[in-house]
Amino acid sequence: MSAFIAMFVCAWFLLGIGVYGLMTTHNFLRVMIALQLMVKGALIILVVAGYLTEQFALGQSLAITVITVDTLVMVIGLALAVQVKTHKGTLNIDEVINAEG
Amino acid sequence: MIIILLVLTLFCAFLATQTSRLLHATLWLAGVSALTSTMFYFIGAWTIAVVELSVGAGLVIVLVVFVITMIGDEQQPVQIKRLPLVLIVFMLLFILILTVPLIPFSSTIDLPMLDSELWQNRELDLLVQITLIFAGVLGVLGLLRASDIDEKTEAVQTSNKIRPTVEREAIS
Repeated sequence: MSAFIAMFVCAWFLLGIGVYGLMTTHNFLRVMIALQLMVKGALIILVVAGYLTEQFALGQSLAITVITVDTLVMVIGLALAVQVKTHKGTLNIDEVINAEG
Repeated sequence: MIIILLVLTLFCAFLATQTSRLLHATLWLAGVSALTSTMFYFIGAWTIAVVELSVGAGLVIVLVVFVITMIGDEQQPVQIKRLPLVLIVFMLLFILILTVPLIPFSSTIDLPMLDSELWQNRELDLLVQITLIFAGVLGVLGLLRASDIDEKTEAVQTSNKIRPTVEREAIS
């Protein structure tokens, strides 16, 4: 049981590291990586919560849904990053916003 | 064992946000995915472990590395900003103090089959996921097609600019 509590705490810290990455970076790809870290934390919380509430299969099936949606977000984000780099010449979010005026 | 994996996961995650090169950050992210899937394997969530390892540490990382090779890896200095870090740590401690005492301590844990849960109770979720995958593929194809259209438009515009000068030179 203590291992599951440790996993729960670790998942929250993983979410925190993802939020820290989102707050401190201005690069589009780094934002995507920080989002991935946050989703990993949410994934661990889902599976552990399913285990602790005696609904292990439900937690796993929700985790599969999260993995699918996360992969889609990543793929579309990467395609957007390629487009932004092609048209604006940079991946810096501030520069792209300032260029738009 | 799981505690060591957890510490390694947090270490990889922090380095993924702090390295100066994008490729290194991607590799640290792959480490986070691999360690997470190992944890899932140890607690008995084998299906999630396999899916996470193949998708999270495989497909996503390959795509990110491919995009980095397409658009180039810019080296950027990364500094640790203390104020956001302190705020997040305090917020996390507050959340953990509130939530950890509420965790249920059940001694008899039944492990039902994931297959029956997926294919009998949550089949609507599966249909939505299939639809989402198709929507994502169509979205990416649309984005890539938009770049093709832009390139063709630019090519037509440049040829229209060049053509009158060529005709003038031919007339003169």
